[in-house]
Amino acid sequence: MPERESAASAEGAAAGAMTATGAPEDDARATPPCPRCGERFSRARYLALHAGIEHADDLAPAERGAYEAAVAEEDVWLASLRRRVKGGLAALPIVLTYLFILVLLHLAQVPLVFGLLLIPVTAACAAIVYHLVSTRELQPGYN
Amino acid sequence: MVSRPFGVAILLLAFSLAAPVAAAHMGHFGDGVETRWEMPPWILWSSGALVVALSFAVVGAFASRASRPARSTATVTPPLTRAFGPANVAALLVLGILVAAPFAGGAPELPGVLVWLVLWAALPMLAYLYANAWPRLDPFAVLAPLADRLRGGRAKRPYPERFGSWPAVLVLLALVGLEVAPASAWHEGTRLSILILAYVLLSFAGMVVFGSTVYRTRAEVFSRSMRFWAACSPRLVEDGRVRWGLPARGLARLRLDGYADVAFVVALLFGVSFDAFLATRWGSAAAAAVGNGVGPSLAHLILLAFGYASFLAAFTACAVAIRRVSESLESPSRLAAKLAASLLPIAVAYHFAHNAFYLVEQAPRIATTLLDPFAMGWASGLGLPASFAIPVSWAPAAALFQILVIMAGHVLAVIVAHDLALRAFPSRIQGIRSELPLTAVMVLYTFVGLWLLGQGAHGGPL
Repeated sequence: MPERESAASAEGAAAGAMTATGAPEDDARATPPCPRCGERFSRARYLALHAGIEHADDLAPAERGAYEAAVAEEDVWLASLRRRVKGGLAALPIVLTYLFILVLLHLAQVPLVFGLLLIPVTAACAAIVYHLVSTRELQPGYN
Repeated sequence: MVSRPFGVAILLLAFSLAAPVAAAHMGHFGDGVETRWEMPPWILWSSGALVVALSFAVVGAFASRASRPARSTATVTPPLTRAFGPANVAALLVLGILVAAPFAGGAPELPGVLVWLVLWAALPMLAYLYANAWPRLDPFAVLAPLADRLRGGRAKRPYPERFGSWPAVLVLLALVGLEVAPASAWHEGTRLSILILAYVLLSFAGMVVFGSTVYRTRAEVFSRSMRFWAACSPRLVEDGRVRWGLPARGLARLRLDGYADVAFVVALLFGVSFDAFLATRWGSAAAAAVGNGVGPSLAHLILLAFGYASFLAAFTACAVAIRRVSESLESPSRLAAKLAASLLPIAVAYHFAHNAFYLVEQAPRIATTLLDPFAMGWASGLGLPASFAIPVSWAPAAALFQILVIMAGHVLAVIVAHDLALRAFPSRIQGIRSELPLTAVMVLYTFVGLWLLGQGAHGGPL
């Protein structure tokens, strides 16, 4: 389940609008300022991470727990991002090869229509490679 | 920070992707080389942009293992020692000769050579390739105790916080404007000597009023810019030990204070690309168009102001976008200050690409002028040529070299941006997201930079 949430969020990251791992308690206005230094954060998760990093020396057990949970949550998001980037990198040579062929056809003065005919084939190949690579689990302990 | 083997791997990836770019470029430029096809130049620009975007994806996704890089508590400012060595005194002496020589009928090119070749090209290059030589040469180190003694009796006047580093920004922009000023104006000979004297007097007055240490660290443009260039060096001194590694690691320690420092970094980047822009036919066409009514000097000034304002506006817009994307509650100017140092590797790459050949060409001139400041013929026994001519047949290799340098600079900038972004926010997700607008701006700069190269700018492929 968290997998699906974070997968959706990676798309949101590109649009820059959606939440990262949208938990309901992450309400922008409800987050209190840091009790130690007064810095404000838009999400409870950022506050937990801030406390765990900047004030690591005097953490209450609850804060330590919140920090570790937040780190684990981000690890899930990062793992998803890594799988996507791996898939994208694997599919990239196919797209580049297509572009190369397109340039060659252009130089050989072949009408552009023939180049456009190749788009479905290329897209299908790229999608298959992306799917194969991006759904494969990374080795454990990658984070 | 990104580990060293990882950084090297990214750079290799960039080079392998830049190879077709270079091939396209050489097809475009190759002098007398038979190329079957003329590669369209947009292939060059878009491959360059692709390299930058790809390195962002790879660095962002795979270089974020640790929950956060260790916090660097080292301070930015290397302490300005009150002590000065013989080199400082010698530099002050040279400064005196510099101001006096053109009046005394000496070599009229001495001020120009010292300012544009040594201060503007050679010393920054030494700083980002090896180490900062400025503290050893700084003539103000000799003047500082004098200024502090003069100041001694007076009431203390603190350096106004709102000035920040804006004085340095203004002087830097003035230098950029002076460099490209139409010939026979103020950028050489006696008139340049007068300007140098004015700058020394101004700085001395500043040191007397505000105190030498604060004035030299915040407002004196040469010690500031050399420190910024030196932060990009592959040589880093940590706890008194010299460590060589991936260039620009020192940028993580360069803390920028507020928007004025951001403006300074942008001015450094703008300065190295502005003269290249003016040297293109588009640049000279723009200068001619603007200068139609107001004359060439004012036209250059208008282009300078407009160009710098648009560079700064682009980066400010980027900071606003970063604030949105990263859901941060900090002000855009604070975020910009945390991330702006990532622009410096790009500035270094342009500076190096544009000045390396130029400096080699002009090396005999520097030697002759320094050995014979009064044009008495002292250096004539050495038999140095006026300049080293770089063979025309080197043009393709030179173009390849410049492209590789610029691509390496951009990829380094992406790596540095990732490092800074992970330090700037508590969350790694915030960090990676904040890199999206930054990468967009860098892709834009890649386009502009490669386009400038393709136009055969000054110091470019001959």
